Amino acid sequence: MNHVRHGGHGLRRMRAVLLAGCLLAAGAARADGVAVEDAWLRLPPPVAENAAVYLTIRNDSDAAIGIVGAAAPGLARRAMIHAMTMAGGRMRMQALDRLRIPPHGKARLAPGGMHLMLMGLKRPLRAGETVRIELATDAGGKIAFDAPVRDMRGAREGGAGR
Amino acid sequence: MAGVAGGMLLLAAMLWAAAAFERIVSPRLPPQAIGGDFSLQSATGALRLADFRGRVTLVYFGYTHCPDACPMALGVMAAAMRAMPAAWADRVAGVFVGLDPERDSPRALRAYARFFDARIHGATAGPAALAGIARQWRLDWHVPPHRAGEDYAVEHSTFIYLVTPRGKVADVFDERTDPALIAAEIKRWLLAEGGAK
Repeated sequence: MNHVRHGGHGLRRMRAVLLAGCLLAAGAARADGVAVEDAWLRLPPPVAENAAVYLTIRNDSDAAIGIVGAAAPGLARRAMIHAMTMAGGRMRMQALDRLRIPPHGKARLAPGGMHLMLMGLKRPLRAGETVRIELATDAGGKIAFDAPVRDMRGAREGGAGR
Repeated sequence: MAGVAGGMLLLAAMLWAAAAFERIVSPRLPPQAIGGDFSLQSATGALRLADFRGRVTLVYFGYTHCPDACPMALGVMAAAMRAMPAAWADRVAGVFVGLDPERDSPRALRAYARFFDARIHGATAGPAALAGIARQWRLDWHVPPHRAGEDYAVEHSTFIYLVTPRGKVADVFDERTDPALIAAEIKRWLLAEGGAK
């Protein structure tokens, strides 16, 4: 996987992503100073009704922002951000009503950590296709991004620390 | 002090060297019994763990609406199974036990499990039978109260159990385990008990 951390490469990439985000969301991404990077969707078994999307959300503004909603129009009945925690030996998924990202901070949604869950898929997904997903911020902005569908069978998982 | 430390270092080095040669260190069962035979319903009829004797079987408990931990675990299981030499391809199997029988139909479980590897079988049982299995297998799980048709997430332990050819749980992994490590353990148990039924 290709996680951008620091340095010029990351900045160039971020600018590209920001620009793409602005074009896609008609300026909303710029207004909010929010960029989405490294988004991908885990190809679920064809019978599955749910799928996980992973991404990094960067807040390049001077104020904290909250992600308060998500949607995949035409693809999923609902979408929400889930946090995964181990509670008494059980893996527990918890819906986050608001994901706060501090000024110039980022939120990384990665396997085994947080994910954006698509619920009630309306059609089976194919590896290699790209799906459009939207995030809503508490400032009233909307960020649209595209996530490629990845078949992870046989691939090494990166993942978030637990 | 230096002598003790040196001795311990030597011991550690010897243990490491021994572990590197899998035939030298015989695999051992954990001191406490975990697991035991169960009978479940699959899309193709009854699935009994006892039917898998002679094979190393990886067992995972999850649910089909699980988007993250379960696909990761089943992917790890499939990768470990595929790391076996071709001659041992049919000496390994997997079982994906659905903890959410209300939504985990045997058909859905079969399709979900086969997506990862055709040797992974999907099956489930009623809540009471699952509770009994969970006690035996030291598994913690909880289906939250919900209305009909409502979305809900099942909380569950995320263990991948290694069941030996004689049907004993010998090891526990999870979705973070390197498949190569699981493959090495599968090989050890096939060498130790592979002829057993």
